[in-house]
Amino acid sequence: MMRRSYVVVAAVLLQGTGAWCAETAKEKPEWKPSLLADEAPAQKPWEDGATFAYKSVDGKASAIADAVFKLERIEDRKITGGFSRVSWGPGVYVHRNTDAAKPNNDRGLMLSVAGLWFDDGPADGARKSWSWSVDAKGGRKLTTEDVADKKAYYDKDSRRVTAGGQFVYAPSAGLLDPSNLKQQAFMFFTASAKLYLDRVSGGVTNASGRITGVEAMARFDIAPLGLDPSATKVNDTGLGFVPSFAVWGQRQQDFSASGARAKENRNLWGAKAQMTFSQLDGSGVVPALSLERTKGADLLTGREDSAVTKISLSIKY
Amino acid sequence: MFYAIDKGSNYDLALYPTSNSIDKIAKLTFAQLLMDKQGQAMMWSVLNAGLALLDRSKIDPAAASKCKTAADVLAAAKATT
Repeated sequence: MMRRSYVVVAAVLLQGTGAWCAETAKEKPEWKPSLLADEAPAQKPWEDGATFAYKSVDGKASAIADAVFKLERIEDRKITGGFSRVSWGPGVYVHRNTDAAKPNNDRGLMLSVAGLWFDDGPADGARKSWSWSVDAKGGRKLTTEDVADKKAYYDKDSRRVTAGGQFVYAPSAGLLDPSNLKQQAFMFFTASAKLYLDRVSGGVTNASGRITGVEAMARFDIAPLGLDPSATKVNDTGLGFVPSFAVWGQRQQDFSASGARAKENRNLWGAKAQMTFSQLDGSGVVPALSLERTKGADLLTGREDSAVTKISLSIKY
Repeated sequence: MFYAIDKGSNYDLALYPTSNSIDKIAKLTFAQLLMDKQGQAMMWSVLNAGLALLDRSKIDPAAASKCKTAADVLAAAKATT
């Protein structure tokens, strides 16, 4: 059964602003903290903020959290034929929904290695890059089981390994005349593939099992008025805005299942419209409004088959 | 420096006489240069890899996160030791 829910969300995006190091030392640690919504391969073009939400349906309140906090160390290298950026580090993940009808509680620790690669060819125009990531996670996961014809939820131990690659293509925007700046649409295409191994054990019935499979995802992002908020400023308010839209589709196809688990295929579709505001005098907090509709299931975030419409206000520091 | 910015930007910067050097685009912001998060990551990656070849320190991530224009990037690269 599909569930429809409408959620008002407050989200927080905290990214790469704090470097925990002294400015003068030559060899300094460069750990970069980030708090994001999911764990896509490194250096995703537009990062989605972590979500912390509260919702009330017919007087029943529930809370949603969807966050990954990572501490990453980044290394850049010139390699034969291109440039490589490798990041690695530990993290904590939480995907939680306290809704009694469809609860989700998936949390634990992770270790990830990720990289970005792009070629050393002509710099002009279209931009192409490849990224990859390998994540190992261990934690607890809320799972559904049918016990005596009733659905029951158990907390189980969860171990998960994913390895994936992503390709991003952003077409050329043409020539630039700095004396005559024009609003120029910015767009890019993303395609990714991922292998996953998901294992659960424990719980009341102690039924354990492993699922392996492959995930494919395609996504298109566009900012029709470009990325420059000063080109779209609201008169006299000192506030500019950047609208952007995205559509994506994802499929997870299991190729083996063991123990108490069964092979499944899962689809997830999504569309998002977002408006990012910006204080043109450069002062601090940047709010963003977004409307997002997603439908389907995702094994890797513990999401059960559901349809969700989300209106969110996010704040970026 | 110019190559790093051109690599991160979607514009064909080097091909056009009004945008083919760093001083001609110095005042432009990353947004005006159509550099998103990934474009900026690519630019820093090229710069840091280049600085490593010259045996200089990396650009401090705290300083990098404050950069908004091409001129800021130039200043941050010059500030490395």
